Amino acid sequence: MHISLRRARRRCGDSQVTRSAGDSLYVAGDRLHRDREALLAEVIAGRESSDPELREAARRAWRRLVSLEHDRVRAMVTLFRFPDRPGVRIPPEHVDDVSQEVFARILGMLDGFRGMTPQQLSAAIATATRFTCMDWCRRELGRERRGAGSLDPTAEGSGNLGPSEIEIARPSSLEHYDQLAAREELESLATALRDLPSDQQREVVRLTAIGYDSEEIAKHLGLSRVNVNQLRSRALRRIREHLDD
Amino acid sequence: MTDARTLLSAFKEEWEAGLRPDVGAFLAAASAGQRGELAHAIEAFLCDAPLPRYDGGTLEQLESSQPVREAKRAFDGRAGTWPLLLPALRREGRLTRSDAARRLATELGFSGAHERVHEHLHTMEYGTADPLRISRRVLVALARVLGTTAARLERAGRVPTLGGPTRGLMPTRRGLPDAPPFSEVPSGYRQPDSHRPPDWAALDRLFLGADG
Repeated sequence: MHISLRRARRRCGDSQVTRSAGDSLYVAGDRLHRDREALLAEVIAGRESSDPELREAARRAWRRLVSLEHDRVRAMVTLFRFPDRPGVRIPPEHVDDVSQEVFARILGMLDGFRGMTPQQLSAAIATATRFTCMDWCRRELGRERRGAGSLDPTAEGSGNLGPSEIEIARPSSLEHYDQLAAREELESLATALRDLPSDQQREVVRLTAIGYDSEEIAKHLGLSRVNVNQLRSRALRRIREHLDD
Repeated sequence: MTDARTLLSAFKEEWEAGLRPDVGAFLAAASAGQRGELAHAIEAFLCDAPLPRYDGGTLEQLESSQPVREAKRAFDGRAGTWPLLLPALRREGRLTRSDAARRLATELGFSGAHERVHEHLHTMEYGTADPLRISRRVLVALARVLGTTAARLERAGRVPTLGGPTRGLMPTRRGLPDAPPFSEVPSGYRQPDSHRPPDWAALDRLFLGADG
């Protein structure tokens, strides 16, 4: 469903959507801001349009939307607790940057917000915030695993593990987390395969994965067995390095 | 210690009045036993809270804040959500742009050209870089520096914004981009010496020409 600026104006009431000279905002009586629904409609309509007026309106609406949602997103990031793991949260010094990541996610999801009611939009923003926070915790876990650069102190009596790692590593059914982790793992693996430096390495990995042994691969590719083994071990080393990163 | 219900009412009141209540301060005011309950209650409220009634000054302050400026830059630019994402990831890793540029230059094998890498990173963070021309090699190296995945950076760079992503060559007033006519060559312009390309020419191809 395409929501035009005109329609957005109708929804909001024409009297509320008047341009005030000297002010980049849309001001109506004592209301200094407008409904999120109308702002969102303007953002989407303007982004897809070549009309300079609509694009300018979209620019203002986006800035206003982010300003109006900023405190809500920031507060939700502050309150975030990893599902079933209340000890895993976003440290205060990272709340602003994680909030910013939420807005990056929202901008990437704009098409999906089309035609949402204010309640749906609020729910979508809350979900985007939760997922961004979970992603952050997962990245933090990766940093802790690498050791150097860990932001958290090592937990007492835990060897080299950081607090986030201990919390997340506890056996539990963390469905959301697992889904996200699996998705990222797959993406990472696909990238690693694509980044292999030669077609031969890719082919050796592919044939190995579907069950060919070195002898068969050598025959198939017209290479020696030693060659195939070398290509495979180099490819696997690169993939491992990529996944570790 | 004030009880959770009273604190929640006070929070709602301040929120609706546009007074920007500090969640941390409210939680700190609750007793340890009630903190979790209050956190859940505030979170539930925020999920469908009305827009705060900010006054003009507060809105102005919000609109000129760093996150809003970077969000605006992303929306105006042609580099997807990079202007929002890259600085956030960099700060999370406690890296200045110079630090990140140095590490990226080293990852790319051009450790001597970190200043040039800094310029390219600047264009990426400001949304003026063309994500379609930046090579995968740069994205893989940058993902390593920022502790993320190249796939995520690639996706972020392709988010549609007002300025892009550009799709191929953009026609100009005179047709497709071409060398400027002689009348437009600025004074002091010198033809680059093709026999002695600058050190960063190969590096530039990684950022400007989808090389590698």
